[in-house]
Amino acid sequence: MTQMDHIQLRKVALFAALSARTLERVAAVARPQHVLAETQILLAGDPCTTVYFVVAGTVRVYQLSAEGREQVLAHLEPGQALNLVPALLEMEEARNLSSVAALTDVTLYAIPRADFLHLLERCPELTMTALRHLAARVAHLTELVADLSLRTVRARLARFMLEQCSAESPAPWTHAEIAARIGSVRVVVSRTLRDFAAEGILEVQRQRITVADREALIREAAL
Amino acid sequence: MDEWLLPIIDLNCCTNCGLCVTLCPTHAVALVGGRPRIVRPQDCSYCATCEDACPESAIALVYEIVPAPHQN
Ligand code: SF4
Ligand code: SF4
Repeated sequence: MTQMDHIQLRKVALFAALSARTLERVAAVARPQHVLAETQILLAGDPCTTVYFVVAGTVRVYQLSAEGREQVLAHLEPGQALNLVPALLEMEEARNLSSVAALTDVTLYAIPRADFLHLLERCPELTMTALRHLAARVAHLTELVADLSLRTVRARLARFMLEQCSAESPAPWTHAEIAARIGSVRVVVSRTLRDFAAEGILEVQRQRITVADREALIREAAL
Repeated sequence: MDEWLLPIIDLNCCTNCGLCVTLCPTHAVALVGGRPRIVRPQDCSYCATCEDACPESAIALVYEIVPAPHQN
């Protein structure tokens, strides 16, 4: 492990505040991997053998419905972990919960599941950080479940647009990706965006959607 | 993001049926060696006809989502 690996590993939220001694133990089992855009990294249902940490680029976490509809669960950016939850399940249940593909060229650090579990047993500060990380994930997923069951597509789309507006580095989105993200289908997203535009809430020009009436969008998101 | 974005074509899903080429009102997309390509990027009006028509959802337009300038 080089000094460079230590610097890269510090970018991972789970490792950022670890003592030098614990980081050294992490670095001893973590291996860098460079993955080209569009490469499949994990398949849902396969045995979970490795935990990954993104240090450069973006990955898409998704699941496929029986009809092949893609539900994007998350875009993971540098600093985030993938496959942490299944890695913590009992051996016979430890299967990848979602599929993961590289959205851009990506650099990951891979830690074999067995080594990661061993680290958690030996390093309480890493265990506490992992618990906080998982608690934040549970909170996010609870919100998503509430959104899907309680809100209309219009409200979910409004909320999504507001989130994107305040994103630090806004990513370009296709209507299909937005649909997958909010649990809908492309034609419904396209129609709802047209409705918002006709009502003066959004302005759509070529490749840019501008939130013209933020207050109205906030009201829609609350419905 | 001030680049001139163009429809993205996922050649893994595309079946080369040519429907996007037939329907594109500006002839911005054409089959090159049997595969669809944006051959006249400056002519693409970003009308989404290709996206609406593609039976495989293989061609799509991308959008950035931004606040109105005075809300920045
Ligand atoms: S967006 Fe419209 S103009 Fe551009 S390639 Fe598709 S059909 Fe042609
Ligand atoms: S309509 Fe779709 S599947 Fe057919 S050539 Fe165009 S991109 Fe490919």
